[in-house]
Amino acid sequence: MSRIENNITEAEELRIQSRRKLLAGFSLTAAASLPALALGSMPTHLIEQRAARVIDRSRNQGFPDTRVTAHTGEVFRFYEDLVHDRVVLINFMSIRREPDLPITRNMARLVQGFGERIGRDIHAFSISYDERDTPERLADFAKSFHAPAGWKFLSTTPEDVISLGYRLYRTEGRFRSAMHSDLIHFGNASVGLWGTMSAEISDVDFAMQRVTSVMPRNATAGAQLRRAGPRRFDSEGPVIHHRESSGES
Amino acid sequence: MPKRRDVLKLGAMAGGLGMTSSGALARGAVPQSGLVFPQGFTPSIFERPSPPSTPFKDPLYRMPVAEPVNPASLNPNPDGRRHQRFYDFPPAKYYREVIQERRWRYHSDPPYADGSWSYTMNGSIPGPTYHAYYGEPVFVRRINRLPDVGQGKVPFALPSTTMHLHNGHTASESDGIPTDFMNPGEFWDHHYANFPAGFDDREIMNTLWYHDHRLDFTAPNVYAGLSGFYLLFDDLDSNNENDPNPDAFRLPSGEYDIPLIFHDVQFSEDGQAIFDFFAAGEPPGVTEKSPDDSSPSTIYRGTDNITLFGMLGDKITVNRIIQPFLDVEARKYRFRLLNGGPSRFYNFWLRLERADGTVIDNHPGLKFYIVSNDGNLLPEPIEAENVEVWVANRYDVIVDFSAFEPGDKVYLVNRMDMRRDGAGPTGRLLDEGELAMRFDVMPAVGEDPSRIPDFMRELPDINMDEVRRERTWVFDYDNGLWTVNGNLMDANRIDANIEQGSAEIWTIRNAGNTWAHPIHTHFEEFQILEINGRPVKDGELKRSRKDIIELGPNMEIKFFGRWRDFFGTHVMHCHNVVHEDHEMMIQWRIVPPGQGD
Repeated sequence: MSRIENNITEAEELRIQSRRKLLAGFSLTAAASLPALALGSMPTHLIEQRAARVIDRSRNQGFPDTRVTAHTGEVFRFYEDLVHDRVVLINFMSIRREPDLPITRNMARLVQGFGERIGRDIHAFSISYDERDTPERLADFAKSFHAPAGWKFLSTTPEDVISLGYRLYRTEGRFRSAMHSDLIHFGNASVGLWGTMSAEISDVDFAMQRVTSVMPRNATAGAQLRRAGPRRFDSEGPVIHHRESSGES
Repeated sequence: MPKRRDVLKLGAMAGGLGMTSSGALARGAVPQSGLVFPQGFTPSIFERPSPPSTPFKDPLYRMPVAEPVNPASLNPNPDGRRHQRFYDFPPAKYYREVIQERRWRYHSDPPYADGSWSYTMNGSIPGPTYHAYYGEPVFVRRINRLPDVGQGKVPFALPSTTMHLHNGHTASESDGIPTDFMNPGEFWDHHYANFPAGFDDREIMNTLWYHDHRLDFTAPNVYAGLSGFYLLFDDLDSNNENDPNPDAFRLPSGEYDIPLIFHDVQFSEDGQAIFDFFAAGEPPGVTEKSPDDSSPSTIYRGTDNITLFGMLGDKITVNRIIQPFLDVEARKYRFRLLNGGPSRFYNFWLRLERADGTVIDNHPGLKFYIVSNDGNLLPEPIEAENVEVWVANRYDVIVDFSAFEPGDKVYLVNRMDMRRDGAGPTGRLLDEGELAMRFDVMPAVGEDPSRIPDFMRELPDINMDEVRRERTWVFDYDNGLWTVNGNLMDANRIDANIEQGSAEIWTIRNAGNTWAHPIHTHFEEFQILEINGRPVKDGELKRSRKDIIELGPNMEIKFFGRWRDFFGTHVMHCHNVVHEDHEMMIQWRIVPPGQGD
């Protein structure tokens, strides 16, 4: 027993020490966090009620079907109109934070990579978590990235941003102002298949492959087996994997 | 924990080993339907628990031993130009493993009896157990016959897989790294050379496993079924308890050598496995920070549903059967314990129930002789009353049922209290715990020729002169995302270029103060030098060859590692596979001498 008891004691001690450190430091970064921006001075119990109302876990894969406004001025129900039968890319952003956390720039590379498939096979949504990002400002922002029609910049109420963030990160309100990295979510909502990748995209082709992995490949059933890999050492291919180049059998 | 020899010397078999929880003798060992959670919290496994199932109704599943195939039956033929050192280690055996969606019966009660849709290997989950031998290289062709996205019955998993041989001293292209995936209708060839690292017999490994490692989708894919055992034998651990070789260890073998893989699973009301990231806990809300809350977030609190942290199921399955039983003879058995994840850790103990219903927690026979750590035989067996098994940990243990009477029932009890969000243990030991499986003691059929050896494998030397450099890896949390040295995983980024043949010292640090990470690095076993600045001493369980770091809150661990025999890219990551999928992974590459960073 002694081994276990000692471990508990050690772990508890360390926990208490670090708790003290954190308590001293947390308030410095809290000021501009998403929850602070979103909630303002709204009473706690109202937020709780609101969140409980918009997130119905038995429907819509848990997505809040909140009303969102696109940078085009159009108003949508987030799940029913934009997501429910589609392959989608979703990220959270703020115009003000873009220089520090260039997530929209990376989304733009991905969207550009997909070209005409955006708006047809794949739909992209960038959700602002900053109240200051009005549809008008988002329209200018979208224009600066040459956003095609299938890429919409969405804004909504602070509470609904929190609810959407809660669904996608499956975590509590987050300190986006203090974040150094973020995720791009991709999913096939008609199947219920969801994944994430780092928003720091260093290889657009590979990032596109990750997204298309949640789409049907429409391979003919019973077709001849195809070798995925490893490829021969004398053949060309990317350094990051050993797959055959596409088309080779 | 005493070494076995010391205990024998002292004859102190009974003293001081017993569990002292109150009421341990009085209550029945009646199985509990759920796990013990802190008050005031209702995780989804309570809110929408799996349908009930009669405990210990179904026998333990014994996976079939994989059967070799004629290489001529593989079309196209195996091609040595695709594998490093293929011609140095020409395959002696060839296998074909087909991955398909099939129903799997986790239990015989309804609704489970109709089967749960799963990703199976040759129709089985866990997959077939490979029996491989040092000196006999193996070739495995894996074929993905899963249905296309949207066509299958397992909505949460991705029908694209890469199979990693966990522990294997395997070249990058056969290792099953996250980016080497195969889609439906595709196959991948794996070459397992089955030689010890550096051709050093002290590097021989014995209990390995294979599992999916698909980029972004490892947690759901393993959960859907993709895991199995790969056992390696050699002249000493020879798979023969009657081995006439005087040096052979003669550990319990054959029928008495049983791999046990643990997965905790949640099921829907119609008995289908659900990977329920989202529905756990209460809806989000906002509460004030409580005084004992150490997280930096202050305003938006109140949800217990932080399931990016982990995925806990409420049914503990052993070899994919819910709470099975196993008839055992009153003799020694070798159990190969493996935590297959996704996120739950286990702390296993044994509990005895006599035929008259008396429950005994401190019988001298209720102990494990731990013979391996992470599948690698120890210098000497270690006797212990419990064994802590983090995700991907493997411990081979010997349990000697000759200490019990026919008619006795021995329970394998999990007493680990996990954080409700799945991110690690609470540090508390559950009083009663959850009964994972039951051993029903029968009379021994014959003599027990097996042994618990006094000495097994010596550890390889740690030669500091070989150390070319040190590296530090900090595992942390960035507002909902899991990071290593501040970064999320990027398949296009190599985080370390290691020179082949060199040794390095790595410091693995947990910057988090409440969560725990089982950190796994591929390719070669390492030896831990220090835990929180304290050297690991001879005779301790962690004085062993390992591939998992049990990185508790605020811990710092230093290890000595070597990288030999092959070139190429591998990964290190958290083996709480939910953390892994949410980017807690780095890539390192073995490069020729002179090209390292």
